[in-house]
Amino acid sequence: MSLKKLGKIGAENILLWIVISFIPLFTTCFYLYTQIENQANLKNRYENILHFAKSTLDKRIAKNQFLDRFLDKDPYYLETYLENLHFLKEEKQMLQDIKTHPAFANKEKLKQRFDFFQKGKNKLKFLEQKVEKTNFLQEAVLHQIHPVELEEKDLMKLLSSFEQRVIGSYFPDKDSPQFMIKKMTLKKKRDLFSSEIFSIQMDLLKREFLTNRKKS
Amino acid sequence: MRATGVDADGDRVKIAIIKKSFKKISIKSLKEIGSDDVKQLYKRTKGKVISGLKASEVLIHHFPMSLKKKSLRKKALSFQIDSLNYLEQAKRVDIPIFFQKMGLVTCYTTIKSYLDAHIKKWKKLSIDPEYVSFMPAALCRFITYCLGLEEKVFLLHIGYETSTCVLMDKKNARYTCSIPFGEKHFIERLEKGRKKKKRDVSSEMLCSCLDEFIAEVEKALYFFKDKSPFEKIAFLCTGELKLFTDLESILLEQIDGFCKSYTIDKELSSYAVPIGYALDGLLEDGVSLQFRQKEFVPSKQLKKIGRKALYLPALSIGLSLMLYLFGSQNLEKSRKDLDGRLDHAYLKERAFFSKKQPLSGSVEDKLDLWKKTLKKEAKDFPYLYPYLRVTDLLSWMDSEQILGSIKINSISYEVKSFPKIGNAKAPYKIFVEWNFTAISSIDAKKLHKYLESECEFINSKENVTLHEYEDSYKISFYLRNTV
Repeated sequence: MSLKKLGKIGAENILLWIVISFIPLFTTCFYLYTQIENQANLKNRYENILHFAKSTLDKRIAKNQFLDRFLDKDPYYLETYLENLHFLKEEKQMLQDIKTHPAFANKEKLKQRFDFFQKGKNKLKFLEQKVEKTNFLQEAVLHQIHPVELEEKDLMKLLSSFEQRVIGSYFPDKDSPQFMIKKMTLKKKRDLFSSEIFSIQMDLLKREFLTNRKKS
Repeated sequence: MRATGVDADGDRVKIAIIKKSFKKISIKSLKEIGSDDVKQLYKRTKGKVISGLKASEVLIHHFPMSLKKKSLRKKALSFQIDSLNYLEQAKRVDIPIFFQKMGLVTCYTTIKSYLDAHIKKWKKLSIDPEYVSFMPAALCRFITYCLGLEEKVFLLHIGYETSTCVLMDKKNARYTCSIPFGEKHFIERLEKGRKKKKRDVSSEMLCSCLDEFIAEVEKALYFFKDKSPFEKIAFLCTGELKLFTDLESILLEQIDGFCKSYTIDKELSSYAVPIGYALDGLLEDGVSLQFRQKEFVPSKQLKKIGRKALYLPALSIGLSLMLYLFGSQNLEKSRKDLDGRLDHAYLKERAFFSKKQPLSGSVEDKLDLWKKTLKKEAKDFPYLYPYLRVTDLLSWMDSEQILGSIKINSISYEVKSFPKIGNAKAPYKIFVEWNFTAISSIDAKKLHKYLESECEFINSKENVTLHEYEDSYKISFYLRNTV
């Protein structure tokens, strides 16, 4: 375009020429404006995510700690440890002490009670009823075959193990999978020496968290 | 700054070169030549060349205008000018000048064909005048430059072929008219007399010519008097006065309407028109008349405008580049800063989970990834212990005073509903049943009422049921859903 033609455009359509001339400037301004907007959006997103991270930190830590705690635990923990527990140790000791004592006339009752302990009738025994499995979780319902009798200390120990709680001097075992007491009947009883004991019958839900879990 | 005024009258071309420095205007050169080598005379001088249209080529209209606002005035003007002219707008060039003090608009209108012919005439002489003014306006400029008159003055410019009469008021040409008498006519009459070789005849012929001329001037005077009334008026003669010994005295004597005459050096006044043109183009004030508008803009000026027009996109591109570089640099800095803050915050947050693997990718990718991770992690996890366990129940029972008056024989605890595979969103729902004995039924009922209305441990939406047996009671209820 010759200078003359350009001059003609400039003289006749000065406004149009000004507009055309400033197109690069307008475009740059628009581009920078959008970039600044994007940057502001990014900052906004960052602030929101940071706020979200802070507000959910406790929840996420709890979940993470829970998974770390229960991941890949001994699947035979119940059979290995809890089913081998002996209860009513005090009564058993007292029975042991008076077993040969001539003063006790009611020996038959004593013998029956002694047998109850000796033949393992007062041990926990569970029957696995229903098993369900996903990639990272296995759930099994365990039914206690017969009720067991136990003293207060035994109850505290059992509940500490099943409910992952520190009760008195009893601490939950770190190797156990997660148990949930699904159903429990606790009855008060008296032992041979009229001390208060309990009879317990439970259904448990055992949850095993597996390594190849899909993080949910 | 220099300007060259050019005036072609007959075969002669008169040139005046004017210089302006710091408001001081001086005449540099006055030349009169034949039309052959006219360009050589001024081509070494810088500045624009100014010519002008004759009085007969321009129409002058005056009309009042009370609008003060320029934009409104502009709209009204085009309408008013159209109504004054019989020629359509496309065929004419208008120059309206607004005199604010008088509330008056003077519109100078010429026909485009006149302007075109004028430009072509100069082109034949290899001149392209950048500025085309108006001869009466140039005369007013000249008089103002020489005498600085403000009053009404009758200007009589004697040209070669025609003469021009101008009524000048407040330094501007108010009315004009052309007289078909010029130096040429007087010379022709003299020549005719000489051919007859009789002195008396020659003198007689010249006298009759002068009488005709005076009669024409008188007509012009009465025309002006009619348009702008005055008793008597001063007058001033310019142009080719060398032929006359004392024209001013004759006019004063012969015409009743003239009261006095002003005189300017005859040599200078013969260049009144080119000097006036040069002044008009040089001053370029509110009353300058430039008829070379729109399609008549001279190519030299167009090139100049074109050159100036190039500055705009160049400036725009330069500014854009600077703005882009500056803006991008700042944005990049800000982005890096945000990236650093994001990495730091992410690693700090991940430290709680002993997972210190840094994020990778762009800021957007990092934000997306972090958000995705957070969303996954922040989902409700139903396998924690958000419900009241057996230990909670026993602990509560141990602390409740109201249970002191009864004896609980057995407790039944059952989680009726809970999250499990296939239904992870199922709520926890815990059913409890106590078998107890009480000294009186009042204690049992008190307990029932307490659990029903006051106890926070119980789910108040569910029923608390009390059954009475022969020697015992059974009460059942649901524990509240959350810890």
